[in-house]
Amino acid sequence: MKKLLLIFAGFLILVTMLGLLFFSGAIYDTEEKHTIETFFFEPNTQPERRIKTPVSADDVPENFLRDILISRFVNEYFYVIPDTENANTRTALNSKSILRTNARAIVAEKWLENVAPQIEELSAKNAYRTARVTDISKSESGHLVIKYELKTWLQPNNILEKPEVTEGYLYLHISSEPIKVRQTQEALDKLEQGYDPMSAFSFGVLDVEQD
Amino acid sequence: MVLFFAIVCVCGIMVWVKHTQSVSPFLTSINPNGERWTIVHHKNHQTNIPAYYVLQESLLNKFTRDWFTIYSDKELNANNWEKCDRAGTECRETSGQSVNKCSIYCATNDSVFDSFEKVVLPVYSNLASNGGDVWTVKTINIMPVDSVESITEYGGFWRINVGIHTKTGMIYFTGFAKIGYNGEQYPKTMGYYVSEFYTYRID
Repeated sequence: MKKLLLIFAGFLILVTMLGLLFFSGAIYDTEEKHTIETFFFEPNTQPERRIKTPVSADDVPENFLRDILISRFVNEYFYVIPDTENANTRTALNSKSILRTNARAIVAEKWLENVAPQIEELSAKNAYRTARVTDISKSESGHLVIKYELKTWLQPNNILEKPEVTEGYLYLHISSEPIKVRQTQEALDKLEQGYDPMSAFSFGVLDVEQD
Repeated sequence: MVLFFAIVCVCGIMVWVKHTQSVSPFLTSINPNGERWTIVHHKNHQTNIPAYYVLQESLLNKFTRDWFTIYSDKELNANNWEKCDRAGTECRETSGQSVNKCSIYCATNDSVFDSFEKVVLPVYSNLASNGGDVWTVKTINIMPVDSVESITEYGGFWRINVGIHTKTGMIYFTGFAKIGYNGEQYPKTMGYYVSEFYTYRID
């Protein structure tokens, strides 16, 4: 009788253990943990311009990250393509633009007031404009001084046209938070919803002045 | 009993640890100017390229080559730059025609062809006749301006980068094109046509 009880007890423990293993498996399935792993690379059909292998965001210096994020921000601030829908999307209140995801509301407000009208006008004329950062330095007040170059083509399909080149300065007050990829559910959701990849970075522009 | 619970807990932790080590990479592509950031892959976002995407890409590829080509042969140039009757056989039948007859006109609308005739053609004619220049498209890179999903069966907005070999060396253009759909008017290209085409010389 005692042996029978021991067998039953052993069987009961075995069943309990299998049940708990099943429970662990269920936790594994439902509590899926995501990680955002960012790599930088440049795919290109021109083999001579292809850069090496993908580089992880963890393997690049913070200054490099800061510089490419600033380049991206400055380009977003000024670029024009011959598409009025693009301009309308960027100026919309619910825009997924990095001027809203990676900057304070005041930055988007200043952009809407000072730069957006010109972007709308140029895109309606089918013009094309690129923005390139040529220098980054720090002012005495701690602001970043960004020297940029704008190239504007006003006449599409004109082979003989040289772009109009202008230079200017942007003064950026950026967040002091270390720049890295945000490992949060919110960042992941935004990427899956089609926001700009830059929205995953802990890079924020607090204020901007244009010269 | 305690030992069994301990074993179960260890199993759970092992499963958890294994799981936290798995990654779901977001591959982000950045072009040389740093202006375009694109997610080219992530785990929950496997994209199959549909037929209409390939058709539009193919049409735009051929159209861009035709737009930027200056042949050494005068007759080939004349054929390429000619305007035909849209209802005629050149724009409707896929066989029995000269290889490149009206190839630009038949793949686009009147507005884009007008721009070609007024802005591009005078320069090409001058280059071909006076300078004897020959333009050959060496590299061409076509991609959607936004995501792959922005290209639909009714058309899409594309970006183009072209490298052209000329008598004076390589020259480069970047551009934007919209593809539209009109099954009635463009049977030769399965209904797709270039509805807007803007290029800019960037070298």
